[in-house]
Amino acid sequence: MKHARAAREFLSNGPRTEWHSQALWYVRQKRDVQKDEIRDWEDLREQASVIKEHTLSNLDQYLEEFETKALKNGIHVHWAVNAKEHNNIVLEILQQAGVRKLVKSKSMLTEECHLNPFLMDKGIDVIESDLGERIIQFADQDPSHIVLPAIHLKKEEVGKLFEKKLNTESGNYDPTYLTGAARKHLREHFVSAEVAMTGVNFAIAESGGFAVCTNEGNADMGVHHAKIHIASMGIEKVIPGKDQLAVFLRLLARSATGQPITTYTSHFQKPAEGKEIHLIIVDNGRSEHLGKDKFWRALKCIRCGACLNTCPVYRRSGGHSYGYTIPGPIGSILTPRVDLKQYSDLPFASSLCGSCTDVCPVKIEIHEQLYQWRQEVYEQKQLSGTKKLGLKVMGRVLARPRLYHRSGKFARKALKISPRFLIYNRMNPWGRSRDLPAPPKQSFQEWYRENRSKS
Amino acid sequence: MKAGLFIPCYIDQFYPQVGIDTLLLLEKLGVEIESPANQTCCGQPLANSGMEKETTEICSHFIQLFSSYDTIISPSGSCVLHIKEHVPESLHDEAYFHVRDHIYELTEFLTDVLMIEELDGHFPHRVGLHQSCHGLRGLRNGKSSELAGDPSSKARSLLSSLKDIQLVDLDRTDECCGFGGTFSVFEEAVSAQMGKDRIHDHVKNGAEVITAIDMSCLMHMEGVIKRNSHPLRVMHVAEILNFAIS
Amino acid sequence: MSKAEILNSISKNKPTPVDLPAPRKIKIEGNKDLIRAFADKATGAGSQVENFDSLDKAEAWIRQQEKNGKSVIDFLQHLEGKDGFLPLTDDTDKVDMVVIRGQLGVAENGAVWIDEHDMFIRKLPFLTIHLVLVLEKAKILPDLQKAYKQVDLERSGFGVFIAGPSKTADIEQALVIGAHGPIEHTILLY
Repeated sequence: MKHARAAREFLSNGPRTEWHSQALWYVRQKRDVQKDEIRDWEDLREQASVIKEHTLSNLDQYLEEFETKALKNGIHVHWAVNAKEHNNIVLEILQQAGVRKLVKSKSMLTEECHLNPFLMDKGIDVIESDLGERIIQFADQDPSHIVLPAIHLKKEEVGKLFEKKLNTESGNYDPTYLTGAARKHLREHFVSAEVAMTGVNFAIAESGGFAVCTNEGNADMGVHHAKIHIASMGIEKVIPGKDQLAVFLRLLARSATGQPITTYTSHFQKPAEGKEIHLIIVDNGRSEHLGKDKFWRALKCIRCGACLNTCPVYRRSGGHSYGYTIPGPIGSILTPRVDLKQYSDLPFASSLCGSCTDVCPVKIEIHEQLYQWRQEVYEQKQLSGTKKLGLKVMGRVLARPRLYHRSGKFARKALKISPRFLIYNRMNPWGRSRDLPAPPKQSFQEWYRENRSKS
Repeated sequence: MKAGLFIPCYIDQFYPQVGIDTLLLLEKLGVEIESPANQTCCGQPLANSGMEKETTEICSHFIQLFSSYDTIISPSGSCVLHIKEHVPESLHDEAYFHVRDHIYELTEFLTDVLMIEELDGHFPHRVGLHQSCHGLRGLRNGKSSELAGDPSSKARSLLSSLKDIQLVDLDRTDECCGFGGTFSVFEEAVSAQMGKDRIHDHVKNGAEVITAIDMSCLMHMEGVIKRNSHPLRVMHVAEILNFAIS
Repeated sequence: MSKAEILNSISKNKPTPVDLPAPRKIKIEGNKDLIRAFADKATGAGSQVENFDSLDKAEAWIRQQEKNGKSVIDFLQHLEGKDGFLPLTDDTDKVDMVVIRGQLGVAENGAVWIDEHDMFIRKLPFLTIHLVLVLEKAKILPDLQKAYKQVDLERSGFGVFIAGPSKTADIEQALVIGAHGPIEHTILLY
């Protein structure tokens, strides 16, 4: 269980885990304050959920409508079947423009496609402009959260990084000071940018434009200075029109960061005079996922991260313990489709508490999908041998009343008479931090037989 | 109305008192109830590990035992939810549907079927109510903190009607305790930390007794309490209610 | 071709069609006073809100900024660039203040909508140190759903809802006002 091992390591630093867990819980609490401000919050969620289901069940039509309108607006539209194709399209645009630097704003899709290492390998300098992303780029790490990429780093660590990379004052870990240093450093890149790249929060079919939501203003600083704006979107990002956009925007920032709205909700309709917008529509396994009866609803996701913030497991194990681009509950239901064998432990990195499902603005039944993925793992024979054997034996015992009674009685007796060292040792993971229950003299059924049964 | 009492396997073997208290409580409230012999399990441990399709024998046995009752009651939210949602499709016949539509977790039964709003009882202790996840977000026997709307909880309503009880306010009203079935073993580090954090919340807010509708949560938290010698004890809601009205 | 491959795959796999729900008005809690609600949310997002009785008085405030030595690009004077106005666009912090007329405001979140017709150089609202938006009080709507009914996305090539100065909390969740965009944001209501 890779996640379990990584989680144990994360937890070995108790105070730091507590700090991480509390930081994310705080974001969850801010979200709670927001949802109480909208009287019919639950209706809004229901609306958003059905809009997404409608759109996904008519996705081909909406994508065609979107492309037709976007082309009319003067936007270049590219289609990429997979990550490789996406990356090559980006490279080609850069090469055709004769540019060797790309200023990027945050896009989980580009993380999924491993765009940065691909471009850097081809001699392109990639500058992440979102502060959190720039920090982890300096640290040579992957983001640990889809909205708050550097949530796992303390300000001292950021300070030390900036000392090395930006020559900031030694020992000055004040977030305002550090942000100011990043502002100055990135401003040079913005104003000299020739090609800038963003993600897409929502692609609007009815008008052929798209919306990008940020707080820092980095997306706009990049694209409005650059000559070429490249925007990447997953096929599931298209929505019918602005009436539906309004519903999602009322939910997105409230769910993600506990703000009523992000500072900037930028709508790109047409390229500015003399400039270009290239939109890349990416599949990368999504259309196939659409055909999975039990799992397609995961494509409703609007990437808010609320499920990560609330998840008691994510908060106590950190994003890196999931071993994939998108961690946490939504990651654990999206990732197994990529490689069930490699990620077979992720659906089990959960107590199935259901908190994620209840915070999801588009009502994805995340914990139910986690349960269903577990069935897939067993079905595809990816369940670990020891686990399977133990449970099969348990299954046989639990199906046979007499065997069940005898095993139970035996277990209770054994617990009672066994010395502590026999019960609490390395073979008993339960016993690492907890005591086992004290074995009672009689089972309930034995008591019932004595005290109530007519026979 | 003839009711059947379903006592989950781990309560049967390790916490028979919870079963006894449930039975006595329901008898005192005038319910005609019996517990069929040869109960085993609902199949949850296997299904949650991915082996739902291997639970046909277990579930078939369950349906057979309980389909003749008008109502089935159990002091376990997770087991009731499991029967309602995760019995293999191959067993979905009339007998199963009858069971599915007439099975209740204890506080659900008291509130929705017996329509009890208050219990005439006395429990002078500081009690922390742990909101078991399956009962809360599965059976919806309360409003989870994630959702908008007025707070509500069937267990809390019943408990707060007891005289002299003090229900403490927790920092996090419904964070998971970390049991999660086999999760408690296969993700032991996270599970244990979640349990410790729940205990800390109760200790910090002055609880003497932690209660819940699911004994599995309490078993897990009790394990942490005993290992760390915390000044707390655990009691299932059935134990408190039966004790209080005696 | 990739487009055909993707669309075919979607067509083959898509689930049973679900109807689009009819748009329903989802109300917001409390505050009937739209202007106060807007000001509260705007302030909460880090904006300064100044109240004036008339547009003249708001413009006087702008003139005062210029008198105080700020380098101000005032789009109110030069709508749609028809008079050949080509403001200073030196790409450094020399742009102290940019003034733009807002088309509408949203009370539930303190955001103001502007588009390219209001400020024909897209980078200026982001490049400036201090952004000033001038908004008629009567143009404040209760929520985003009402607002989008009035927003015309197709009338220009770029539009944006702006709610406050740029900000980030990427370092230990500590809120820092002034990330890459403006450090100050003022809304002049008249």
